[in-house]
Amino acid sequence: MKLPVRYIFLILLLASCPDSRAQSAYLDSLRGALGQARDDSTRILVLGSLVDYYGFNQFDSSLKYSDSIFNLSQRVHNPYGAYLGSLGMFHALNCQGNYPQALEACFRMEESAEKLKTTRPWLSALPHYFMGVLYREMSDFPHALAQFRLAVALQDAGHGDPTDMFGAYSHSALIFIRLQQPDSALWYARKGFELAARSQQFRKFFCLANLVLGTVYHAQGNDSLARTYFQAGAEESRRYGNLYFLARSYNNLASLYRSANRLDSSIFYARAALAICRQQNFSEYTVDASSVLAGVYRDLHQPDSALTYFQVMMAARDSVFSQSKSQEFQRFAFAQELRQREIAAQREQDRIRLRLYALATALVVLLLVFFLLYRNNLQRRRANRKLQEAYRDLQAAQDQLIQSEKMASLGELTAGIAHEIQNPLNFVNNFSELNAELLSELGDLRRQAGQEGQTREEADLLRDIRENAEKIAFHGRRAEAIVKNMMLHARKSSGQREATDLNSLVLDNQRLAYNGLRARDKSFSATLQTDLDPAIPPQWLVPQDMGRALLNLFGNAFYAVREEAARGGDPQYQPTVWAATRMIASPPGPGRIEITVRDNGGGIPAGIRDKIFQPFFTTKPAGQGTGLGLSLCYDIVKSHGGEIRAEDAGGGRKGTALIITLPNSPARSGMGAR
Amino acid sequence: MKILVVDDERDMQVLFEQRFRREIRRGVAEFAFANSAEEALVYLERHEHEAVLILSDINMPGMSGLELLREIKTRYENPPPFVMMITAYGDPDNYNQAMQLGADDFLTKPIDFTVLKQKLKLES
Repeated sequence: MKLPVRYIFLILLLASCPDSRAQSAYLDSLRGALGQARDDSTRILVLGSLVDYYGFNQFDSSLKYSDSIFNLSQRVHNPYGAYLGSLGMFHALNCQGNYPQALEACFRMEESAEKLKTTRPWLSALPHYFMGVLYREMSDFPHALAQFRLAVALQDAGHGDPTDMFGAYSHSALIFIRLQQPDSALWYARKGFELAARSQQFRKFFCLANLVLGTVYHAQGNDSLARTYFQAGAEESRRYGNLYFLARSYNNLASLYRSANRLDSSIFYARAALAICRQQNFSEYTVDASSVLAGVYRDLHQPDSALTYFQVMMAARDSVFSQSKSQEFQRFAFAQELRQREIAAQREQDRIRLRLYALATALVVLLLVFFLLYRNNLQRRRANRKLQEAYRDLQAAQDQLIQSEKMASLGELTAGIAHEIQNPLNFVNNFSELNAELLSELGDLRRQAGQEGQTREEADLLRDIRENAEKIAFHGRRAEAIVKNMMLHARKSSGQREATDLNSLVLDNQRLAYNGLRARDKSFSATLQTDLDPAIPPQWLVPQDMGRALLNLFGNAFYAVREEAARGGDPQYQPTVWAATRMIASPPGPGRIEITVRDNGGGIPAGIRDKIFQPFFTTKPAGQGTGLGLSLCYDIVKSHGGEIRAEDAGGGRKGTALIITLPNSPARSGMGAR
Repeated sequence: MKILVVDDERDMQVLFEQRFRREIRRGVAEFAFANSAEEALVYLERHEHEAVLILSDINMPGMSGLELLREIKTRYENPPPFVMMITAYGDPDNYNQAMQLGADDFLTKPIDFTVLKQKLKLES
């Protein structure tokens, strides 16, 4: 009984593969092409054809070539090749029931699709469809349905051919049967069928859509439609040489005929399925087929045959059972795989977070560096500004030094000239005085002699000569006064430094100058104001020199206010001369002392202010000033290490302030005894 | 009284002769003039014991007035001549040095002849 059945099967099988010799020739040519292929893309193409050839029949070969495609593509960085290689691997692994590795293949497909998303965005849909298939195998229906929906959405979003996704509908239909939702199952099965019928790329899986639709109808009890679609499924499987689906078709038909009580047909298809299953080692379908046969033979009261198939079934079930055990294990592995994925994702996230932290740290460091640089720059700019200030100060000091050098050399020159002029001038003065004396003596002698011959003209001439001699003497004395002042410049200070009460020195000279002027001009009067700082300690200075300088300044001040009063511009005008001293402490140094001589006179025009300390500079009319007073003051103050400057009286008032600044040099006890 | 005036300025002779013309006429003073310290020493050599008073400038070319003063004070001890120094530089250095060397008096230029006459007790 067995032989005829097997014979029929072989015929069927040969019918599905129109010419086995032609097929082996095709296979040989492919292998030859693979050997000759020079470049990698050609090799990938040839390997793809080989995978197609083995397809759903010889998983080991299919897997081997798919793996080659994948590795080769990875090596040459061809993501599409890697995608196709992973796809082939998925089919082979899924049919073998190796779900964890099948899932791995899905992930690889996803990765490759990610790299290709700009050129072929729809590629990301298929891996999700495959994941859905795996979830269904795991009986995780909610996840499976979610993945199918996602796959359809991605296919749409990527503008892929919608018919490619018919499997998502067909597999969903199978789930709805299991969930006992026949209406949904039918809708999905039909939708899958319609799409599959129009599919170009996956036409070879049209058998699946047929079988699913048949299964739905079978579940609904519509046997005739179920048979039609099962037979169509078998036809499609045969056409594409898909033995897996062919076995499944036969099983479906066998159980359909059995439930319709057409036992011969049932036996026929069950045996055909069993033949394929035995050859291809499809244990799951072996159980289905042998269980149908055992049942049918039991119904036919053929216990031998029933027992035989029962034993086949038990053996297969053992294998399936062990398979289901391994499925159990694999389910665990699948979960493990998912967990590892999550861990990897977590690790990736950690890595990203770490990179983010590193970036943030770098940013902070950068900011810090920026801040430091900015601060540095600021400091440098500040230092630069200080440097510039110092440079300006230095320049001012240099100018002042040059000025004082000029003044000093001018003073020396003045003194030198004075010395040279002094001797001839002495002769001029002496002889002019003598001339005047001699002429008056001559006049006396002539009068005593009573010379009558003396004419009036002669007497006039003698008088004129004597008067001239007197004028020469007068102007000679004027020159002598100038020369004396000039010589003071060169004179080394004869005075000794001694402890001096500066305030009383100031006060004394203010009065001295005032009284000096009053002695010459009784009508003159002025107000004397003082503001003396009692904190000034006794100073170590030359009182004669400093006194002369102060006398000069006060003399000028009184002269100025007298001039202003004489001008008579303001009837309310009150000539006033102020004297002020001030201690300027600057710890830890000894500080400075400021002496101010201020008047409310006519003031010094700004244009001549820097000339007033030069020798011979005077604004007084000829004969009233030598122009040496302030020059002398300047020398004296300098010799005490101080400075002198002229300012406006200040506060919008008229007048001049002359300010002497001296370093505070307090007399130490014991020094004053000298 | 014989007075020796030592000065490199030749006009000093005319000046003194005119300033002291009345004293010279009356014979109370007799003047001799030397244009340098060296000349003065020669004069003193010749007229030993004659000169009563010497008036000398300090700043002179060649031998200075101070050197002359030292010479005179070492050479002529008995009786030491009365030496009066005259200088345009009235600074304390000159003054102190002159006094150390035994100058009897010190005058600064320009010479105030009224004062000089008082000092010489020639005031009439």
